[in-house]
Amino acid sequence: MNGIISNKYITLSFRLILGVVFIYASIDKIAHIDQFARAIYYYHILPGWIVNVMAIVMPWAELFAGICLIVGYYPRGAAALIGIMLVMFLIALSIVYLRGVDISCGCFSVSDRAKSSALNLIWRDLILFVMTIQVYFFGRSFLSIHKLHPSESK
Amino acid sequence: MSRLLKEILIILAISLIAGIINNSISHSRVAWVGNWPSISDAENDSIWDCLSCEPGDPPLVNLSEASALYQNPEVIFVDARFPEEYEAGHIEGAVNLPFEASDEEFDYYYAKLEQMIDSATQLVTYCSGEECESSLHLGRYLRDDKGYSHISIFYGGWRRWAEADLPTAGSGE
Repeated sequence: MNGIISNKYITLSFRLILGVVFIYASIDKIAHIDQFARAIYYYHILPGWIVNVMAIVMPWAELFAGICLIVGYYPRGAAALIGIMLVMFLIALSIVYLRGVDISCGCFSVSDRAKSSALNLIWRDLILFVMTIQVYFFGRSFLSIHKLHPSESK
Repeated sequence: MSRLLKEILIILAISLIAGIINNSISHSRVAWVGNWPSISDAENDSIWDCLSCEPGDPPLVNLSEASALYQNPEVIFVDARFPEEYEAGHIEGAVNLPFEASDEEFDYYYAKLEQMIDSATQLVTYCSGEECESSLHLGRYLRDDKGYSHISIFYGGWRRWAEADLPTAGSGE
């Protein structure tokens, strides 16, 4: 069982899936900072002063963490950062779900059409979170740039 | 400092720099501290924080103004959401005109609406709530492209209407 959980091909697949998902999720938000800020604001969770800071910085954190995971540079740091972001998304979506409010999630696209139920999004983020945990603990070296650093290749 | 923390901080620092650069050159740039209404204000019926509204847009009406307009049978409410959302629940008597649907679908619904109204008809557009903008975009479109001059936008939308227990219709699903 342990062999399956730590299988390097599974880890590699999870790294690629998470990386692609996070890179894809970042593009539209980077292109439309103002609309993403609005999407964050409408969650009505964060205080107003931090909304724009999040909208300016977070999509880039998604992008760079996604790239790091795919190429295997700083894989643990990238996985930890993605895990932190997923926990934040899960908390936000759970609050929205409990409130029963219909909002545009701002997950992948900032458009008003990008709606899906909070419960589906929670399930999706939970699956991504499980992948992240696996990558965090086992995703150190296989096909990683990380390996090229002699001091870090343990 | 642990290596894990160092890695996270490096990724965040690069993200911060990229974000600063992007926000200084982007067409969609925002102020670092946004002027967002506080949550309690936003819940207040008197404040509709239409962030994309521009001077010259059709006027916004709040819940009490919308319900006053609703008393007038000459006024037509236009639901800008998708047909499945409309079917699930809408303001009673409202006509569906899904602004973000395909052109063919929009034209189909528009043809039905067109038979019911003329250029003097007072129209009130709405969508899900303050978080959506199709009511605003539909209002602009009907006025600027179709020539209807009596248009109001009920920005609180379906959610505020339903919360206030005003007349609704639909399957309720």
